Amino acid sequence: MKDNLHETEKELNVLKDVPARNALKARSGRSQFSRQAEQMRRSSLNHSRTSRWWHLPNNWQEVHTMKLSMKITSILVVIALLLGGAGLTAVAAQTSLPGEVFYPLKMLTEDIQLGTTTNNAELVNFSLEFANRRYTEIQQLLEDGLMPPDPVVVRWQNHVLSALQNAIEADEPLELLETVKTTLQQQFKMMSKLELGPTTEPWMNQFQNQIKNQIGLVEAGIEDPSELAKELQWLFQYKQQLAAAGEGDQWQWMFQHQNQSLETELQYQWQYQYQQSEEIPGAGQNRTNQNQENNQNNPADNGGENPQNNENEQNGDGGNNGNQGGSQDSGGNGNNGGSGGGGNGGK
Amino acid sequence: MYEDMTNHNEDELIARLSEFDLTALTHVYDLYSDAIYRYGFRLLGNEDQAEECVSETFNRLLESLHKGRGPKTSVRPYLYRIAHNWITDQFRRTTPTEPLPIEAASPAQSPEQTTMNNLAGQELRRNLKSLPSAQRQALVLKYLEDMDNKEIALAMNRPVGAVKALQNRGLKNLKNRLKVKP
Repeated sequence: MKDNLHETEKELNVLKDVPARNALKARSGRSQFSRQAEQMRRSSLNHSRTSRWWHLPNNWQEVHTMKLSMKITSILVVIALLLGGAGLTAVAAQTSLPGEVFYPLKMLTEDIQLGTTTNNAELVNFSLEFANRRYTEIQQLLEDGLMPPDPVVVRWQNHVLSALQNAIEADEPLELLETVKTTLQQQFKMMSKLELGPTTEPWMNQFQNQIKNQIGLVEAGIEDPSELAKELQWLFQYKQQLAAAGEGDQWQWMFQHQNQSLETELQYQWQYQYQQSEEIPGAGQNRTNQNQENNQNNPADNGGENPQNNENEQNGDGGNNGNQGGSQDSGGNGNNGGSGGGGNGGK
Repeated sequence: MYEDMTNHNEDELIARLSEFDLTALTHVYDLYSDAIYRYGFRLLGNEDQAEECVSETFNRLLESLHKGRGPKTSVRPYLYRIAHNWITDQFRRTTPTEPLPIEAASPAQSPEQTTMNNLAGQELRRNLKSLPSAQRQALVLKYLEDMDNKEIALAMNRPVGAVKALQNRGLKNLKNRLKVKP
């Protein structure tokens, strides 16, 4: 009988294997626990205090602190009054559009806000707020029948990436990533409602596609935060490289390919990050060769979906153009998994 | 501070918990949250529910401590007791016909192996779920969580002899249920 039960004991071992816990959820749970513990502790302390609803200073030190804080407040009020003129200008700049006189001031105030914030959650909120501003500017320009300038889209892109980076570094990554996702979904929805002319509509589709892919990136990141971290690291590195090559205003290099399914595209993105990490210094020649190999191996991928891609191959741009060709080709790979040259579409 | 805590004995840890010491609370969370997650997953077979189990267990710990209750002799068995009660509540809430969730594939196993384990795991969970709550607890803590009977006795608030009897009855019942394939 004992032996028979021993078999049953062994059968229970099937349940011993447990898949690894999602690091992001675990971190989120821990931080939620700490916050709740802190709140409960505070409420206990408040409860144990005397029931006075008002609080007078208990000693000289508290009186001194109160006096000091009143002085500081007064100084701040005076400074605010003196700077009133500049403040009004800054307020006026908030409504300006790209190309207008006050627009650079608007950018400056945003940069100052971002530069003086250290808390990750606040940085996520600021980045999203600014991404929303860029989105509104883009929408306004499109509605006016104008093509939004590349730097505005690049800034939008940077705000979203910054929000993602700060979200994964924050104490509550899941909540923040969900906020990023919701913001992007709202932008996507709003853009879908736009009715535009034939000149601006293709541009809008491209931008909308980019929003869609950013949403995919966030979703994939929620599932696998470590991959998102690596991907972001690569993206920032790549953007720096573009800037160094004088192409910092390119935005179409990321998520260019419109005909791939989102799933395939993200899969390629992860793969791309691994392939690229060792190739970033002097990417040009190697990347081009690899593109050609990939194109030969998988002609279906090429499929004429990106005509500029084929054109560049025929012209030999990727290989002959040194840094420029290399970096653009790299972008293309990230987008369409080796079909090559998607980044050139940005041209 | 955190490292110091690992050397503290259980009594001191419990004393600090009862004072709502935040370092001690975080230390306990770091020490046991993964184990409670595994316990939840083994019985519920679902990652989200296992996370919920962790969250609920530690919330209930906080609430108990806040009301001046909480563990008196040992922390780990106390947490397992809370988790067990929560899981039992979940079992009561689910309808008998509700299918158990499919586990995620493990990268170390072939798809066939994963499927086989999933099926075997589901059947085991279904049968464990149908056991009386105390028998299930006694079995799982011993054979899956590798606790000794003394600790299980603390978690179940029963004498060691009673725990052994529950394990024996539980194994027999489980064996009979596994024989009868649905």
